[in-house]
Amino acid sequence: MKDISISVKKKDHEIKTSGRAIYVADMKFEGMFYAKVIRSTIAKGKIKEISLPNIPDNYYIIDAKDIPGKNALKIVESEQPIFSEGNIEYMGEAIMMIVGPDKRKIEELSEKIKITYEEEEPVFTIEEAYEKLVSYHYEKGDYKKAFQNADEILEETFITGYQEQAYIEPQGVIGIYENNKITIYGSMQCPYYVKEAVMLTMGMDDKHVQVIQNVTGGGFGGKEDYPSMIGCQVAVAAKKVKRPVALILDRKEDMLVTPKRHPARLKYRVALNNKKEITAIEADIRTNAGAYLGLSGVVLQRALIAAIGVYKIENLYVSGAAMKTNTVPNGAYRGFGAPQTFFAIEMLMNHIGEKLGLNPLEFKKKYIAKKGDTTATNGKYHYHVPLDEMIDKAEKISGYSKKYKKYSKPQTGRYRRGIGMSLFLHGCGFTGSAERDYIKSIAKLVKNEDDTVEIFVSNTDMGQGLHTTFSKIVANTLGIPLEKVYINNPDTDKVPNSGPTVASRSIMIVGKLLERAAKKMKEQWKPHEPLTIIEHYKHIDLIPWDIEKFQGDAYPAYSYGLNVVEVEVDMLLATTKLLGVWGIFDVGKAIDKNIIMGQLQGGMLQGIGYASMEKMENKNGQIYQANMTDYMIPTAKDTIPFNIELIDNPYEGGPFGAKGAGELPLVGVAPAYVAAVENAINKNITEIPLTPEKLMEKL
Amino acid sequence: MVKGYYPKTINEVLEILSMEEEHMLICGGSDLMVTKKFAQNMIFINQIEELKEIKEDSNKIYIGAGCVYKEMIDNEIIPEVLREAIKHIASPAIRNIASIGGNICNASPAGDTLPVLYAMDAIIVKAFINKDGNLYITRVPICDFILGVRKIALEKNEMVIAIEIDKESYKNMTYSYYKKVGGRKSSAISKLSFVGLMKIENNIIKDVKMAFGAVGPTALRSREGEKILIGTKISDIEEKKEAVINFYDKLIIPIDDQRSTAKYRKKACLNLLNDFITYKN
Ligand SMILES: Cc1cc2nc3c(=O)[nH]c(=O)nc-3n(C[C@H](O)[C@H](O)[C@H](O)COP(=O)(O)OP(=O)(O)OC[C@H]3O[C@@H](n4cnc5c(N)ncnc54)[C@H](O)[C@@H]3O)c2cc1C
Repeated sequence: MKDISISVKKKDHEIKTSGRAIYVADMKFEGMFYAKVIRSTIAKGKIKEISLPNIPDNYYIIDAKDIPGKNALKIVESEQPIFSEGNIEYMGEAIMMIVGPDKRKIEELSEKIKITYEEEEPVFTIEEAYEKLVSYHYEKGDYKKAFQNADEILEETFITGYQEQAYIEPQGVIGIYENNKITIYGSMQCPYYVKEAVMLTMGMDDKHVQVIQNVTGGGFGGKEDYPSMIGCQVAVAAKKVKRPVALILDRKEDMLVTPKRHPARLKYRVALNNKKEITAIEADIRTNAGAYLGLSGVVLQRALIAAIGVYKIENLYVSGAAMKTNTVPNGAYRGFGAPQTFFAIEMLMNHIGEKLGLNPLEFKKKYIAKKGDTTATNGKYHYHVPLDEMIDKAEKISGYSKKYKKYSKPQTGRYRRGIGMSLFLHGCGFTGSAERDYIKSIAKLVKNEDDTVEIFVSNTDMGQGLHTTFSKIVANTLGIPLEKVYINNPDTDKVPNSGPTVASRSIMIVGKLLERAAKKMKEQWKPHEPLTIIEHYKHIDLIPWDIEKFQGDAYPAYSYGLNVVEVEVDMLLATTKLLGVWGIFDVGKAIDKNIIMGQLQGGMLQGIGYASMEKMENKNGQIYQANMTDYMIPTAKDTIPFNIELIDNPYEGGPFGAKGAGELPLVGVAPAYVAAVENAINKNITEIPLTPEKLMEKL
Repeated sequence: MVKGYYPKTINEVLEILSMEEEHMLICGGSDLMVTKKFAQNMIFINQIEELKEIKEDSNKIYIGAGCVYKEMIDNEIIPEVLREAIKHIASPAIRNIASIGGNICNASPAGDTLPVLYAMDAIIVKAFINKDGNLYITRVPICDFILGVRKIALEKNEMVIAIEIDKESYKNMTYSYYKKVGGRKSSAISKLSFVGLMKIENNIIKDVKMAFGAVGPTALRSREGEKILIGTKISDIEEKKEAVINFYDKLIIPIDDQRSTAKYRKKACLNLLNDFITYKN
């Protein structure tokens, strides 16, 4: 059989290149109304009075009183109101919605709504925050003793900024109420999340809520939780006005109110013995959660689990908290807490190595975990850790160590060069036992009479190529042509719940279910006879995860990555130019080479943006860079061709040996980039984004 | 309802402009479409051939206000340093529709053609038709045309038809220097920009013109600052340098905004200034 990695034409190639793909904003229903959310203009306080203009016929105000079920957004917990009942926790919080047939009229009416508040003292930053929405801690070995016996103790604090997903399609949904049933269309990653949220808000059962994903123009984590919020809002409206209701955010509103990557502050203490070896690490990781918990707890878990990166350190104390601030709630963005921690741990290791007069890589090598070693949380590296081969490969293709040595000599002149390397991993799938306890994925394969096969799963294609890769897994396993296998955007009335499209889980977890289902189908295959196979998730029991103690195997498997970045710094302007970017990745097995390369290149470029230019500030509770002019993401001119290589390291738990690949490429770019700049200017840096404004202060 | 006019000649535009109602000119629309603020009557002027002329005589060049960036980059009559500045504006798609007249009339503090036009003492050519139906053409130096942030010296019945540049202002220069600093390498509004033109004869600075962009309400040019350098021997530049830099250090008062900081802007401007004046050393 042909190697599954050989690229094929993507399943969505034709509709997207021809412009025929229907996005939610393209959909029109008979008698459809539009909606606009009226939002708080203060960051914290109570609503004193709302004065409404005369609302003409056919226009409606929708607010908390119209909610038939619970006024609570189901994410992990359900603590966030769909519409405020008088309390305001952040600027932009939804208070009510105007719906009606004409958008301009809605605008006009919304400008006439006057809301007065009783303001309270808000907090905006991690420094000011005093309330922990959630906190965790864990320890390993005897860190106290190690610190007591330390020859030297080093301390360093790292700061990371917001990052906006900047998906090309802003968020949007349409809600329809018919025959006592709600149907939601929208741009989303997780149809069943939206469904469960709408059920709770509407007080409706499983049979009366249907969610259908539209073609989705990018998500990157940003469409994990927020579609549930707007889904609930239109559901409430649609039921009240008995018409389809569309809520499509424009770019500015989307940037102001949807969740972003958490800004973080990471404090590290390191104990060294008299041989200058690390004996213990203490880490305190604080994230800015925004006004509500949302996904902040699970993001924080990932950040804490990654506290010591790819290294083996015997004694640890790791604590963390998601701090409540009166700012827009933060959430998921590719990497989910890991990019923050990997920036800190990699820079920390570089700085210690350099302080000891070593090439940072030489210093790191002594601590790299190997198969059989315990993880930070006393789980185990059950499978081969290929970092040594990856380092060899990186040396060969990038010349890292040679260049590092050369650039470490004093440089003069306007342009100076540097090179940096990072080592990282990413846990595949949900943290801990969530796959077994909460998600319980189910996938279905249906063979039709004409011997075509349809895939039924709730996972979404948002541009990352899932329709193609899932179809390849099924076609290759069955040994039938790819054209015979098809998949539609999920409709919860038709597809079982195979879980959300997050956490680098779809290929490894759901792809595996499909591979198993296809194997069964092949065994029972009779030409021209319909056949349905339903496959359930099976947990591979390793060292059980205990969330209370924060101990055990946090993930079934890890994907590994290595980045090298070489830059030239313009000392006059504190700007940088990329000279080389290398990535070596172990994703188990690529299900499609082109798709994987797209994922890796795109993720790495987002990493470059995160490290260097994607600056977002919150000023008095409001996002300051709220359009694509002020929030800079890299363009084609800001990048160069990346050199990317894959390592084959198949994983038995994934289809054809595949592991997670979605988030991995973003996780390690920032420390490699910043290390390169440090190498060029011979100064330590502890904060990203490293904008020219920040860098200039160092020159 | 918004009403749209598609005049074919400058005269037709001026006739519409001389009517009572509220009008707004739209050329490429690359500024207007972003602001989404339109008048009751929109006059589309990007199809008017007369506004797309680029020509020269022995003393000066003439650039029609409706010339788009792409046409200017490709036209050798346009001074090299202006073309260089234009190459760093926006992206290819925008450069195909955005006009120089629009950039000037938009009068943004970050308009990228402005520092270059200030450095070359560009003349803005305006036209209007008065009550008795006669066509009038007036000329104002760019520094008198731009009055402040988004404020220009243009009456309701007037339009800009061209930009004129004296060849003296750039032809016999020993070297020119241009640098734009944006948040990224394409599609970025300037954090700051700098343009410098230097004329050296017999090792003496005969003439110098310098302007900064995006660090004040409009482009910043100071003849007083330039005078410090004019007449200086190349070998004495190092000594004069400090006085020049101190002078501009006081003159440049940038702001903090969502794109950059005052501190960075100041420092980068002075570094570029320093690099420019010591360029040929
Ligand atoms: C994505 C993007 C990136 C951009 N990047 C840059 C950049 O890097 N640097 C930069 O400087 N600009 C940039 N701009 C702004 C814009 O492209 C320029 O200012 C352009 O030159 C405006 O020309 P236009 O023909 O599109 O103007 P329009 O939008 O048509 O008009 C602008 C203003 O000028 C008036 N006007 C136009 N022509 C005349 C005339 N003949 N007489 C009197 N008034 C007139 C209009 O009424 C309006 O007020 C960018 C814009 C976009 C959308």
